Amino acid sequence: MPASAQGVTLGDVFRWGSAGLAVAAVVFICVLALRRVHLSRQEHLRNRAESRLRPLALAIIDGDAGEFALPDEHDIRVLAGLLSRYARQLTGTAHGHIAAYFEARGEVEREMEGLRGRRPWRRATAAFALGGMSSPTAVPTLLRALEDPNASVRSAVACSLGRLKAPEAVKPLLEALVSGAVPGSLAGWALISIGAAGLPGLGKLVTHPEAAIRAVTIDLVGVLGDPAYTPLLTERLRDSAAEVRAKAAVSLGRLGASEAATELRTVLDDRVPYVRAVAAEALGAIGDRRAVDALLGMARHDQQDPAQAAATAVARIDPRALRASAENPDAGPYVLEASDLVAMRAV
Amino acid sequence: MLVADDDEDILDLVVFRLEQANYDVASATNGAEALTLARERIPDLAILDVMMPKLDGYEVTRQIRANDETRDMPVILLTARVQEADVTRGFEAGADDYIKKPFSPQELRARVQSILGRR
Repeated sequence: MPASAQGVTLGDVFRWGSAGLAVAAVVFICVLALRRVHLSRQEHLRNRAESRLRPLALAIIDGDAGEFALPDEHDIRVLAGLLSRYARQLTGTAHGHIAAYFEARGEVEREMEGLRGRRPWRRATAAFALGGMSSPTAVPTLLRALEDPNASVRSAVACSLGRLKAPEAVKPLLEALVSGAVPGSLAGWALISIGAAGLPGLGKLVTHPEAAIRAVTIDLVGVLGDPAYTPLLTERLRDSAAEVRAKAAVSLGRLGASEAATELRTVLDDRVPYVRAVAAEALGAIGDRRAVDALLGMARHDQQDPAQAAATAVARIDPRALRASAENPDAGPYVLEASDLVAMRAV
Repeated sequence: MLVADDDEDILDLVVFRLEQANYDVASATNGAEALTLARERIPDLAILDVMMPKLDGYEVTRQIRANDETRDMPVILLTARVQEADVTRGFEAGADDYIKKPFSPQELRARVQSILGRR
């Protein structure tokens, strides 16, 4: 039987449908507006609490807070957030005071318990919170959590191990980086954050059986910049893996390791073009004048990448020699190009 | 004393430490404001973040040095960038010293006292 026969026309259906949609839209807008008001109020309350608690937070990081009581859970959370943010900006004894505060309140223990929880979001939150508490007692638990099945948890753990500057995390972080368990940029950031304290651990991994780990380690030693590691890096210029030889050359260049120049010159004959190119760049960074003839030869006769790198290196070491070489009829495109760039920069 | 940093947490931490050591501190959250305060108040020392909105720490230092009234004001740069080139750039702009972020409050105080003691 047609709808119009029962007194309901198609027009009625559209009218009721439109009215329903209009009501739903109004309700949706009201919900959004209420939510916005709620969030603004929360932010306002947090800002007020932060202003009130800032002197206490500053006294805690200075170790001068003495006995105090906080009125409610909201204030406790705000103070924890402030301390965690301040911890990021400070080095030295402040971290000990921040750790003492969180340990005394049982917060470190609570978050370590959270790291053993069932829900991944809770474990990730706990892992992240532990990084801001500056407490070294959390490190063993965090190291175990680096094997968590959830990627977000592992990332939060890596971030916190970096913030805690835990030297014992160097090897697990490197392994996590190489295996892809933690995104490379995050694990690299954590390792760089650990900084000089992690160098002894990195030094041991320079000869790790896995080439990928050797390569990342050597890269980090170069970034962290300790010249004491020059002999160790120089040895790796003879590594069986091209990736490792290349990273060793790059790191020696970064360190400006002039004592490695003789070995680096031999790498200009490496069978892999990329390794020859980075060796040329490293010699350019070191400013090794004894490499100029070999580099000019390479710039004239080698493949594109190493030839370009060699010409650029000569431009850095001895621009006059490069311009003189560009006068020769067999100078080749890379010497001419680098010489033109030198001339343009001089104008 | 003038302290300028666009990160309010760092501003809190530095200002607190200096006030605790009984220094009178004015603060700014961008380079232009820092320069105005430096010219108006002629502080005994300026601690400037390198990466600030409007004018960076290098430029503020350069302009402090270019002005007759502020030329001799000691400047410490507060920087997360500690590559040699960045440090050199800071000294070339006219900075007297630099402190790496994250920083040690004790070191900050020692550097400030050392620079003020030298003058």
